[in-house]
Amino acid sequence: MGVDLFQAFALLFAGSVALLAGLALLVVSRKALRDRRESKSARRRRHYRRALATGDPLRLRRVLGTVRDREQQVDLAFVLQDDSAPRPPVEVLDREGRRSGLTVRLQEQLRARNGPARGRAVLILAHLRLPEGVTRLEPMLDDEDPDVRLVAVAGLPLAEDPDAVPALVRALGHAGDPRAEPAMIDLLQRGSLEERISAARALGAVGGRRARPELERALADEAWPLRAQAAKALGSIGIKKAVPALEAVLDDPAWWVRANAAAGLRALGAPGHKALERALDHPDRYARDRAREALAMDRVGVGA
Amino acid sequence: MDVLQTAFDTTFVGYFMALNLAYTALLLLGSRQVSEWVRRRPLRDFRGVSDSPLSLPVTILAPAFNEEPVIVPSIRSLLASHYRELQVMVINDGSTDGTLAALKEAFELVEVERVPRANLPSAPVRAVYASPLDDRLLVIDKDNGGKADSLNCGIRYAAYPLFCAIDSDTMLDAAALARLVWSFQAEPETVATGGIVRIINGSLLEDGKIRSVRTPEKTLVNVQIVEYLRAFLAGRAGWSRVNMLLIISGAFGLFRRETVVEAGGYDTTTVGEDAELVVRLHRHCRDQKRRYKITFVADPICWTEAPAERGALRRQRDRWQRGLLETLWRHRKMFANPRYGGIGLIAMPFFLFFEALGPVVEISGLAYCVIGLLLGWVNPPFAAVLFGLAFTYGLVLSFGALLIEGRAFARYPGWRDLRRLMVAAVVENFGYRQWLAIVRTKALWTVLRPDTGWGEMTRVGFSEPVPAVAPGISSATDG
Repeated sequence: MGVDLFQAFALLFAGSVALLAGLALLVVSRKALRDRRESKSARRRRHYRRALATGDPLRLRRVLGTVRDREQQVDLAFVLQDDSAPRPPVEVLDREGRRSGLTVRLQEQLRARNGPARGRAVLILAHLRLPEGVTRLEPMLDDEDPDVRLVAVAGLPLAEDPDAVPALVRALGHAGDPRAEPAMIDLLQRGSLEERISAARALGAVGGRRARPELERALADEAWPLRAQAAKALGSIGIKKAVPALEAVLDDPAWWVRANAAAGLRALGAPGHKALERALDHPDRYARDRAREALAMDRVGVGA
Repeated sequence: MDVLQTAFDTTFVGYFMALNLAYTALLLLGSRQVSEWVRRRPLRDFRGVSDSPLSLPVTILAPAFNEEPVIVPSIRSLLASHYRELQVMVINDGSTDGTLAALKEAFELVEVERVPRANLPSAPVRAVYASPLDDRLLVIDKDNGGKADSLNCGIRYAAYPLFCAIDSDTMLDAAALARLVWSFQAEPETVATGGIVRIINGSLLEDGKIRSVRTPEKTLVNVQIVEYLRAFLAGRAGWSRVNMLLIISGAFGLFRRETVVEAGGYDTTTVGEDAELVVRLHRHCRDQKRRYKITFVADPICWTEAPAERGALRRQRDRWQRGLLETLWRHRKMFANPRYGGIGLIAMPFFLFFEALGPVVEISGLAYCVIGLLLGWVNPPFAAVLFGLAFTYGLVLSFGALLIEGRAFARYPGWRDLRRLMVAAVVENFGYRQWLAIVRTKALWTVLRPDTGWGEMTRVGFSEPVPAVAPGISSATDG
């Protein structure tokens, strides 16, 4: 083993000792820093909460004017997301947001190169619930960053602006606003397969009787994921007229469709149960299996 | 003799340098991955994912074999998971103790009829039970067939498109599921994702929930905490960053059911069924030229009890090492095969040379140095510098993992915890690491006689507030 190699390793050793010492120091100082930052953040959140609760314009302007860096923005977003906390009327927030310069800064931040920075701006703008929120947030539905898109989708309904509905329909999987029902039905008829599946799923959560004919038509679609979602939606909407359509797909070739149809029938009460009992003599073995399973759960009193 | 000595020197020194370079790269990648997650965390509405009827429903599969002391609180803790559309399925793998009876009594189970749907083989099912108290619970009683067999059985009966495989003696953080499901919803090409497994020994529990996270007094457990942090926050987070993650812990992973069924389910003939499945999923998706992602998420936490006794720890590590070796052997076709991209060219060679054969090289290197010193082949100052370098660099990696943990999560909040972990990081280099290398080297020799059994484990349970040190058990997790 040559001396040169020895020297090289000795140097490496010295370097790693120095690195280790630095790292140990960093671990300890980071812990101290974090503890300090956490207590600072808790104080800041209390401060924001109080300013929002009092609704005093001057105080609000001063507080909003201090929201500049990442941590301050995260804390403000955290406080704004608490629906139970008292807050001033939207027009006061809007006015003081502008006067403090926060709104302008956030609007500029919407064009930042960094995705999380854009996301934070969307998050705060959405939760400020400003009147023109839709105009500001709608373009963010097409943002290249998925987190920003999702924050925008979740934030749009907060503006409570009817203009938000078309934008939300574009993001059906995350919307769930009953006002969008006609648009969802339209999407179920005309959208891409993914959009139709999302529309069926959303209709199951928020749809009403008007959705039944289109969902029943979807039960005959060639794509099984759509048939499965349609069966599930018909069950959860709870329209008893859907029993014959669900009964007819108990022998569907896809397991998911059969299972969702049986669960749907079970959820539809007496007419659904009768359909399941009829299916016990179904010529198709798989339909009999699903019916037997669903009825067995009923017999032992396990909820639908 | 000189030629032989030079060959040995070059091999050991070259190996040592390559190993440390690789670990440094992983540490940096892991740190970046975790920082990115932390920056994006405030944007992610995990509560929305938990509460929404539109979120993907999840079946939790909890295989259980002789888990009588822990099964009821564990299942209660799972049912308390904050997730709207959830099915919890316990698969009783032919337990010989009162596991099934405890479940029957606690949840008033009644036998129901269920027809399996997927075509995966598994040991015969004796009965399926549901609970009138909670319709999300399903218990399958089957003949003993091992953990992988139980998971396959669970997949056959699972109702939902995602399944979460966990150990029945583990506890999930309330928001853990939503955080994993997020990956599937934000990136639909995701086929599997794993969360972090942390050690619960020393923490205070109440009503199946963690009241306060603390480190235990026992150094053997603290050493394992440091190991887990290194393995997850540096290792897996780093591999996930480059989509080359080869292991998702058997204790906590979420999978797309359809893809797992397509790939053939869990392999019942290996002791490392979790790693084997992940490698097979990579292979399956790449063979099909499908876009896919297998990821690790550093935040959702699954808590598990770590072995506090050497015997249990030895058995656990022996099992992990054999599992790794079997997996690498079964998928040797992927090794250095450009068809499998980074998995074949980087990840598998790394796992073979540094993880599977690492302990052998370490033991050989130690033996060579000791014998060399005695016979005068090795220059003592050189050996001292090399040992010092190995020691300090090992510590650099451990402290790096502690730094990532402290910056991103700080789950161990007290100064005493930090002190204990830093001490454990130092102590592990004196005896523990070498002992572990011997255990893992021995596993290499036994790999020709794989034992797929679960082994006998002594459970102590964690339903009540536990003392600082929970008596040891061996769990079927991997770190």
